[in-house]
Amino acid sequence: MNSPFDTTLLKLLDIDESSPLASAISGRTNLFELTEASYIAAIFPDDPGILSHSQRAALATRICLINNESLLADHYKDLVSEPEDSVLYAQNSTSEDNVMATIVDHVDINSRNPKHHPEDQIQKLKAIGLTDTQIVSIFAVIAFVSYQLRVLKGLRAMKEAL
Amino acid sequence: MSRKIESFTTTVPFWNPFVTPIELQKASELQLEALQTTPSNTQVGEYVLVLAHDPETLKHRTPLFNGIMYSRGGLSRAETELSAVATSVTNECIYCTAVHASRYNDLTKTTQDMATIFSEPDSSSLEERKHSIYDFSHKLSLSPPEICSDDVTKLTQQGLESDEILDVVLSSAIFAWANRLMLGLGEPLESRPQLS
Repeated sequence: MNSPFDTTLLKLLDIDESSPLASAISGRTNLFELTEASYIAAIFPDDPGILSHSQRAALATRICLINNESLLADHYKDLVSEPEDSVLYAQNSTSEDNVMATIVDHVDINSRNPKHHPEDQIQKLKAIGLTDTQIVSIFAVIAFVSYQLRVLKGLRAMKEAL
Repeated sequence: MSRKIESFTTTVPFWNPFVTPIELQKASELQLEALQTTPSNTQVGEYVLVLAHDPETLKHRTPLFNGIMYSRGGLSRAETELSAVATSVTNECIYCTAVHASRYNDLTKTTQDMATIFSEPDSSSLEERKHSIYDFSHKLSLSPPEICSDDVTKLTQQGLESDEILDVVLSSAIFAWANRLMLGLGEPLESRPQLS
């Protein structure tokens, strides 16, 4: 990567070198590069484990929709490569697969209200047979997207104000 | 049995994981690279050993977190910690709040601001500049976030430059990440539980 302006978030927001924000962003080039690397690791890991890349993109879409972030939601929706995964971000329907339905419930709770009975949430994930590694990888997706969408919202507010 | 900490404090609790941390001696090369350590290191805490179950994200998360919290220039160290506290209080993450409130107190040599934050829901008694940072970080932390351009304008009116405002965004956002891991994967206890 040659420039922070080539990263996903800044391209989505159409922020380039001519922006009034360019100087501030250039001062944090490494942080935008690490944000992009984290995005690749969370959504397109070499070892996808319990969640395929398409399922990760679908759950990321769901988290963005929960947080009224349609621009990033549309980006993730375009990355859902398996049509059946679209159920994972449908508002009122969840997967008929019990494992995925439980994961979707967990995504909703941890992204909306992370303090909500966390030990019970972990027990539910363990009860459907998930390993500790699988559980942590689900958290990694939720937590990253929760970060990413807030960076985007903050930058958008800055772009509009400055 | 160690008692669970239920209210905000500046005394850092023990973080007790709900899932089993990896064993450093059995860590893969990828995990060791992500941990930036060696199997002989005895100082690696439970939290990063839990996160090492997912080494691909941990590898980038640690330098990103450190870069946001400790880079030179931009927002002051104390104000970066203030934003972290505002987010952690909003998410009711007792552990993260304790760590970063105590760092704020160390940096500012005062305990009054954290006492205000712990006792007032909107922290409106903070000095205006501090309150603008607190309020911005709080609004960005909500789900859904309630941030808009007016909130940026309030920061500029308090004298924050664009590089400082970007740092407020990044500090608050990285705690949206950290709080979800800390809250979801473990709990704050008074001390490390005794082995039975």
